[in-house]
Amino acid sequence: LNQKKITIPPVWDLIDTTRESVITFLHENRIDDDSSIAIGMVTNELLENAVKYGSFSNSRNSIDCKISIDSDSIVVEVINPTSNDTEQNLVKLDETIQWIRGFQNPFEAYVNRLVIVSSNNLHKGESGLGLVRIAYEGHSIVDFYTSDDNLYISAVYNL
Amino acid sequence: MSDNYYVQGKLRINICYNDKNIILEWLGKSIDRNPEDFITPVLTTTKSAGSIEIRYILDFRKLQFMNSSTVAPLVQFLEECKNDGSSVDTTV
Repeated sequence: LNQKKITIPPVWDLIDTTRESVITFLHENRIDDDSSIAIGMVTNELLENAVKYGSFSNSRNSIDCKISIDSDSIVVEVINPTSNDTEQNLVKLDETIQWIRGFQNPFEAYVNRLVIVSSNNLHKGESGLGLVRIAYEGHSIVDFYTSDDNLYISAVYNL
Repeated sequence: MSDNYYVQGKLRINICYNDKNIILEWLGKSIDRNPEDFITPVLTTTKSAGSIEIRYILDFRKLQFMNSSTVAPLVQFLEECKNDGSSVDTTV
């Protein structure tokens, strides 16, 4: 098992830098280009959600990103603070994951989401495509739990 | 060589016009938090400059990365083109 942990403040511009660091780490561990790029995208989407929906304060002002490589899978885990104020976001997260699992395969979920997006009736900055993209383009299974006012969300990519 | 270009952050969109096509070449990365603020006006302006016979070519070969928020304005542009009968090709 080979691991890397990156901790960043909730700053949008650091997301892309982190994505690139993850890709470099994966290349160093001889993960092929297609997988590395897919996992980089997954990391990017999870970090964007963390910055958008996390509950940050002066004392809790960071996001952890952990990448774990073993013989048959790569796991991306992103941890960000939550609070009662952001509980509605967790409900929506759970609903979206259940919605994706309701399709026979991620491609169907992706196409369905694109149809919704094309209708142009979305709130600004909320395409809802991030998690679907992780499932389809990122070939990853997403799950989450909460503990000690933190959200732990992970994406598992099978090699 | 582009006839026009737009830049926002790490994303650049070159626009090339000829008699039959409007080519939108995407370069760099689309990683803004709200990319539609930049992309939608560019696409709307470009579309208003073309006639119904014009074919739009979206060339993504030099785009290194786009976040999922970038997909929405693109899909909405494609939907508009479908609805008004405009022709669109994409190159990746």
